[in-house]
Amino acid sequence: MKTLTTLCVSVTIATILLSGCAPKGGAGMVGYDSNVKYGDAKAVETVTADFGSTDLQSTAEALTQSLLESRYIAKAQQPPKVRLRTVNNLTYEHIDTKAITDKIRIKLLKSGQVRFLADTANLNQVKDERELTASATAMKENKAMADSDFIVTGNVRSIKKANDDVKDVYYNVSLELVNPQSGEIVWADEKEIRKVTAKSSVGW
Amino acid sequence: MSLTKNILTSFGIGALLLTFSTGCSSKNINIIGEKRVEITKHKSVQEGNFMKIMAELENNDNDETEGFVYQIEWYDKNGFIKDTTPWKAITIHKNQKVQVIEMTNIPDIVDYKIIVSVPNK
Repeated sequence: MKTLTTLCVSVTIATILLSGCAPKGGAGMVGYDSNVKYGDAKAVETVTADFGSTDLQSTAEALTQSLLESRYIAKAQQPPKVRLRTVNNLTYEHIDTKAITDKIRIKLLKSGQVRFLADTANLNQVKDERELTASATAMKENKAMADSDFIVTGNVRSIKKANDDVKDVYYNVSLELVNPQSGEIVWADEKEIRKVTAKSSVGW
Repeated sequence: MSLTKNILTSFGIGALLLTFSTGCSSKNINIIGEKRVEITKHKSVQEGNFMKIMAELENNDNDETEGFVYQIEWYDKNGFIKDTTPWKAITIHKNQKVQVIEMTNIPDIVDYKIIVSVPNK
């Protein structure tokens, strides 16, 4: 009887000790019981009214769809060569506008309808593009690199208003597709976003 | 009795034909959460290499404006998910309908699913 009691106590203590040492979760998991959790990267995020991941994603989605429907892309004999230029952030907050254009570029490349030339980050106007093409004409090996069919430029703007009860933020992201040879704007579209924060409660 | 049976059969066949002719298949719809929003119709068209869909969403509540999110899943010919749109927030006022149009950015999409997620109140 004493042996049995001793055995039971030993097993109980061993179980408690072992379970206390073993990490929670399972194979391939570290910090399973921490406060950090993975979420849906495409979920609607309304943590604050600032320009966020949802705005970035919906802007890229809408403008890519519009661009693919433009006749200069959709009806082109072969995928045109496009260069992304600067999208100006004209708002009072920090917005990584390159994240918008990078996302659009990824989507357009996946579509197979457009080819992209490497960015020329320091040249951000149509005039610069024309000069680049003209000077490259003399150097044949650089011509293909410089000779884009279209460039994409744009602006991000915001208007903010608030009173005691409501804070309203309006974002406008506009893009243009420009023929660098003629300077003609062949496509333009915008994505508008309104975010309203009721100061008593947060929601959408 | 026989006449009643014939009438019922006709109604049944009619209902089936109506279901097929509208093109609204429940396999293309998934509503998560409370069913306070309805997808009244949806259809797809091919625009060049890309599939474009239209869906009409209705808030048939007499009292409440509904805020919810939706997402489109795009499938290839093998039934694999090739892409999804980001979840998009939308608000429909009481007794109103809203039409949403989405187009895939990648070619070779043959099917889609509209997922609507309605928050619990």
